[in-house]
Amino acid sequence: MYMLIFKFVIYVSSYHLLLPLILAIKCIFSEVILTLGSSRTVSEFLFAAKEKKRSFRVFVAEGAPRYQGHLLAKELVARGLQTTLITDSAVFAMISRVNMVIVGAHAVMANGGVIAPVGMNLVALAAQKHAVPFVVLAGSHKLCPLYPHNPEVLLNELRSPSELLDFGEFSDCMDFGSGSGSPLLHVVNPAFDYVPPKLVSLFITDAGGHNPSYMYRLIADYYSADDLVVQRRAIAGN
Amino acid sequence: MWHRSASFILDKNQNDTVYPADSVTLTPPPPSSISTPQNPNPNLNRNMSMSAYYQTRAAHHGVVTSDWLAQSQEAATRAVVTGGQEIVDGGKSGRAFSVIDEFNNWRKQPDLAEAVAAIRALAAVIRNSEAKTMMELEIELKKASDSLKSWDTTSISLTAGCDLFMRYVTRTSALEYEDFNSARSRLIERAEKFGEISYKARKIIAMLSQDFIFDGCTILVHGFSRVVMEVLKMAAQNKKLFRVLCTEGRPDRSGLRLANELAKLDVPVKLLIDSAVAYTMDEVDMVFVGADGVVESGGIINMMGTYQIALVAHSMNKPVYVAAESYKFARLYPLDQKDMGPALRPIDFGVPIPSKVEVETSARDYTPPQYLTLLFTDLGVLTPSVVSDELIQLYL
Repeated sequence: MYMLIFKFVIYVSSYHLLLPLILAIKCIFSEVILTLGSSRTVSEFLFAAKEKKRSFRVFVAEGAPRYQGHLLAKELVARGLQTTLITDSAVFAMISRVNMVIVGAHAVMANGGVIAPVGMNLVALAAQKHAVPFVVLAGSHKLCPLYPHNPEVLLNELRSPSELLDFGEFSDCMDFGSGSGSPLLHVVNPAFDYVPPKLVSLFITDAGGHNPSYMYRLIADYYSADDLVVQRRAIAGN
Repeated sequence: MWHRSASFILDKNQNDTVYPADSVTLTPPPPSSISTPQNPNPNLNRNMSMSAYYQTRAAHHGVVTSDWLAQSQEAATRAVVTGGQEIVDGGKSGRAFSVIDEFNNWRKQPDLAEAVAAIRALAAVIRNSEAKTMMELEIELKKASDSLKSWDTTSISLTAGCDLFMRYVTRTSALEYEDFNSARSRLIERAEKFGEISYKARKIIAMLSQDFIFDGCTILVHGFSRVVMEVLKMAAQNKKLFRVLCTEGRPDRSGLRLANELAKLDVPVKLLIDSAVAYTMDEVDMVFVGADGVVESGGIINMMGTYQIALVAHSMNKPVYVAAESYKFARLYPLDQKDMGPALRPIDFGVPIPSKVEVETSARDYTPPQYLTLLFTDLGVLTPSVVSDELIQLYL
């Protein structure tokens, strides 16, 4: 039992090394790559591609409100990659100059949809509009057997408004205590976005590159149908 | 059959001399008769080549009360032999036990799916058979299955159900028994179990789809499907707040029955005429349809109008969910609408139509997989691309 857990931990911490070995050989020749936020998989992938002497430039969208893109930009520069940092709103403006979009994922759903850091849907839509391939890098531990019945809410979390607004500036508008009943200002700060399968061109997993419509097969490798049919006997009155 | 170009002018000249046959035909009618003019004369109506499958559905789904249905059922089972002869043109077997009669018996129950009725009929064949060896039994079963299939060539679930059962019978595991009688009783037991699947399948499908119905959603439903009814019933029992927009479903008008049933469950229902679907599509959150058959491409064959609704939903980015049991999976691959055997049913317009005017009487259409979002089956939730995989597993 412990051996299994141990092996799994090793796998999780090093799987992102496997990905680039298999696939950094792909298609990156004097290209411009766009990514959003910071994903360890993507950065390992880009480092490996750099080592294989590919020449390319990277556009990094900063990924508000956490601005993880700033960290990624720093790392890429440290490795000698030509990097351009842009805001999320500028993605649509810059996408016509991009050859490929490569992003990581938080989870991959059974229908091939992706739960990714907020702002990803924006990038995916822009990529589709300009016919830019949208490639998602995901290890098999990101595969989820659920279907997104309510994609905005499923697996999402609403984070603190303090990431958007400074404490003190807006505390009057948002205060439940002062004045009348409920405050007029609500701040919604979702952590994740849902990208539907039709916007994804390719999934790169440690089992190879696949279509979104093929993901159910990989999921079936790890999950059995018995795991999924929820026997809610109490409610259904069976 | 291919009325695509102006050749219909030429075809019409050829067909002017051909009139619909007086008797009910069991094999698909020859291509020329499809384009012949429809006479609204009621006598001719009854004799027109109408798909028996849709006759059953009409009988099941007519807007009737359940009392009337119970009475007519009783009357029908008493007069089953003569009733059967009226609809079917000549029985298929000369033996004392007729599988067609048995099938008709089971079919009369409104809650039972056709495929399951067929399997129960085949189980009865096993029970009444006098075969002494497995091969003999198999041959009898094959004959019975063929006669059932030819009784109504247009019903996909019937064909699929018979095929699935025959595949099970010919699999080696059932034949491993030394003793013929125990093998036979095992087959019968399995057939009975298959029959329970109909009820269970609907429950599983309803359970799987509960997550997709959220509070405050608007669901568009086309016509009447027992599986979809089960889904909505379970959602209502789980105290979900939703409302249903229901198309009328001409010419069956089965949507009226659905509206009836839903009103009993206190679910807000709104009836639409079939043409009002695009008009109301923007306030719809999802479309739920049943299926007569699920084909290899992942598309579905369903009541006429489903393709239209799927097209409109797709253009407005609304998900289309299909609820279908696994025995409806068929080994067909239609390339276009006219590729399947025609299933015709007469349409009553209420006013006499001049004989020069043709009427499109096809009762079903094919919806390609790119317009469908998900299929809920008793094998789980599937995307259309998974269907062919599942088909292979079922039929292997």
